[in-house]
Amino acid sequence: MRAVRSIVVAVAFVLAAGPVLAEEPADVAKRFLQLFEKKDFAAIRGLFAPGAVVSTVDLSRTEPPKVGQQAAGEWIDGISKELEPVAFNGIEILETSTLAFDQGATVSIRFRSSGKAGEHTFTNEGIDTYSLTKVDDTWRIVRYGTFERLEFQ
Amino acid sequence: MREIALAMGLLASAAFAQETPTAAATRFLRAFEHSDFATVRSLLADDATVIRTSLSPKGSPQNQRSSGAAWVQEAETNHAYLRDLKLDLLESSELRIDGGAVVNLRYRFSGLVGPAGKTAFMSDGIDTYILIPAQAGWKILQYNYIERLEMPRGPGGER
Repeated sequence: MRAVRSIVVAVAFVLAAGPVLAEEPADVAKRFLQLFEKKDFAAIRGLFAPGAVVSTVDLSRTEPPKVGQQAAGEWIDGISKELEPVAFNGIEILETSTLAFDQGATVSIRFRSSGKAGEHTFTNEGIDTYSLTKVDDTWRIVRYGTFERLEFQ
Repeated sequence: MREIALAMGLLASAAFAQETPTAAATRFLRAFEHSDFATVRSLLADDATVIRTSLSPKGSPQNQRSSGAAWVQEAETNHAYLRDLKLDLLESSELRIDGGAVVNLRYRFSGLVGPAGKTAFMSDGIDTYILIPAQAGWKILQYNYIERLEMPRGPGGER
């Protein structure tokens, strides 16, 4: 009986620990978006590898695209301030692709988001791309790219 | 003769205007393989940017940021020391939105390097192309890649 109980405890332990140990690159990317919805930038910071960078492309219907690159920490500082007035931001994942080799992976996610900032509502359509590598046996984002068109109504 | 060349050029432009984002990205990669830097340059937008993410078995990953123009210049210089280049395109994906596309290409790139050309190298990686439509076809606005470059000993023991 004691042996059975030990097996049950062991199985429960493995099941509880399983999702974290087995987190795949696409899971990390999806978790990033969930945390972004909640504006949990401290947790987002923890998903990046040391030295990570962010590239941005902002599309507009009236102007040429704006292209940028910065360190992940700087980007987080900027976006967290920019999103302060945003009361709600719902992100819908529409399509995902993952390519991987033994040491690295790239995940692209097509999304649509909508929300409210002050008196204005907005929609955002884009494709996020995450390049990841393993740091201490955990997939971490080493490069994050956002390619999007944000429109206020 | 000049009229024929002009007509051929116009036909090529028309063909590129109809190619898919994946075809444009593949053309870029094949041009790189064949050291055809005129084609590489023609596919990059004027204000294109590049991020190279290099992985090594030991140490942290390194990101190197540059403009598209500076990256092409450096690649062209480096290609003078490479030969027998072979690029295997292993897998691809394409996602599109209104106004652009993202193409990812997984590859294995190999060849010989060095003045004597006896040192083999191999690179496994994934390219990411962010493309926007233009009059003459798709233009690459951002070109980013993650790769692990390995340089095992050459046949003469060189590294």
